Amino acid sequence: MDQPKRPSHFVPRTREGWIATIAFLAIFLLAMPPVTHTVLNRVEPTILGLPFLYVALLAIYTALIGVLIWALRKGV
Amino acid sequence: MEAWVVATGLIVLYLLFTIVLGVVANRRMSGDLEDFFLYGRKAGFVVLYLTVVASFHSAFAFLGSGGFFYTHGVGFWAAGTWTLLVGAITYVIGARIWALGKAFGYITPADMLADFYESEAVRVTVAVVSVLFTILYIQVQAQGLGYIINIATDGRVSLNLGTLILLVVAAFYLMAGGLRAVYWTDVLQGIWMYVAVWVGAIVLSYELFGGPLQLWQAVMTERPDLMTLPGPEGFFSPGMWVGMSIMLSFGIVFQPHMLIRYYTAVDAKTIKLLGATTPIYLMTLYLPAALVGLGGAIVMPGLEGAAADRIFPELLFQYASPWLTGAILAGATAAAMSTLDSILHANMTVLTRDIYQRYVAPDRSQAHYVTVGRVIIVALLVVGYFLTVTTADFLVVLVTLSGAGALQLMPAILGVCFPGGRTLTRAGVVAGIIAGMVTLYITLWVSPHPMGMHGGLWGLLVNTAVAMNVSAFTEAPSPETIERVHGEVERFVYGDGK
Repeated sequence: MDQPKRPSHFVPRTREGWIATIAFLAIFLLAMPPVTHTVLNRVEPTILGLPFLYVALLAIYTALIGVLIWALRKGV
Repeated sequence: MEAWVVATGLIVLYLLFTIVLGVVANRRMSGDLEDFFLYGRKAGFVVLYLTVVASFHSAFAFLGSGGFFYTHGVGFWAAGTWTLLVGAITYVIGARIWALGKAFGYITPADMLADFYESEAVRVTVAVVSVLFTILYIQVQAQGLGYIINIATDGRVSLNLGTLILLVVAAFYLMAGGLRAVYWTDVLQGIWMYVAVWVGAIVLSYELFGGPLQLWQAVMTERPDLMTLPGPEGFFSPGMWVGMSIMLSFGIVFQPHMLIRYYTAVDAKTIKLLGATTPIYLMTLYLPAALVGLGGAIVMPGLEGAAADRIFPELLFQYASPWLTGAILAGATAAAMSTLDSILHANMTVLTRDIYQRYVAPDRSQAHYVTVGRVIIVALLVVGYFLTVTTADFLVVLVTLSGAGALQLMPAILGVCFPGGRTLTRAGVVAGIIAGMVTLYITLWVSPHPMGMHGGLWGLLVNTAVAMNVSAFTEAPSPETIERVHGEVERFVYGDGK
């Protein structure tokens, strides 16, 4: 049946929306396989005495929170 | 004074305080449905923040996560991915759900889905799925509470009796004050559990290793197998990593106790701020959990299965002062109760609103439905207790199981909240959920996690494919309804956004 046509909400419509979406997805993929199980999957080099995998993921998570807060400030 | 006396005394004090909060909340109740079920839709940021994080983090965060780090190592730091997704989901989808709830007076998730898909079958299906799988979550919390009381009293109160006592207390303050009592106690619980787990982990790491850094050094030297993926038992395979990330984010957010929280926000700004900042609390709670689990693996090796979940309290009893142990175990009680009361409330709301008010007694007074809700809480308490004493399992397994069920609502919810493209139909949604449930049975019980991918994800894939294909040749919601609901979403997102 015919349905009302409306622009998709799955695609951002503003510049800030695109930036937030791409930044979140790109950074999030760094915390997903295969990156986690290959590139990040090591103890050395330790960072501030902590294992590399642990610190790298913490940095990624912090960056993702940064993206969400940036989106909030920009009104995305 | 012996540690168990202090621990038990502090937990009793904590329980008494929650009862007092319930009584005070009762005196503030106006008696109407929205007040009892939805806090009158006026939850501000601080209250909503603490109730969301306290409801998300549960006995699992306090016990199961330490046990998971203990058994499977640093791989459990995958937890950060699902806490970040919870924030993003709240920011993008939660805000839309809030807007629709405000515009059309929705109280339950099924209200929204049944309205959009114009289907009572959708309402009943969603209500059944919501209740069925979150009852498992009641079991998780009740089991956790039983463990805590059993440990706190040094075995003097049995696991089953401990479970019963805490279930009764949670049910009491919920019956007394509705969602207001839940929110108020969650504020206390959210603060207490966060402080407790951090203080406990830091104190233990200094007591046992000389500090957190020394703890990490010891683990890297003595248990390097805990420091990389997929962990000593090979648990954190890529498929399991992805599966748990989806399951414990979407799968928990789509449970009724979380969705209902979105309806209660006072305004859109509150819900977006909530989405942007909840990961800070949720993610950082796993930092001390890593210290507890990994440190425990060094000083107290050999615990397996459910016994590993007890690593935090076991360490406290052996190495921390009685007062600290008591305060932290009360925090653990808070963690479990804050989730338990939220789920009891959500199930009560769904059963009262979607089943009783809709099909049994449609035209009664608001006070009547509040009374029925209280009776349903008692029934849920009995069912939750029965499930708890007849089943024992590893906490995280139960959590992912309940998440897998709620995840099956995802295509239907996205269909409502994201205009554009072809709309799903009522037949598509119902067929998709049923297909998802059948797939869950196969991929969780008959042949668990095929090809290393979590069974819940298999369920979601089949569900989505069936929903889209059936929707392609069945009747869509009326253009008026699509325009009304999607038009509201459009105005909210790209209009004034208020």
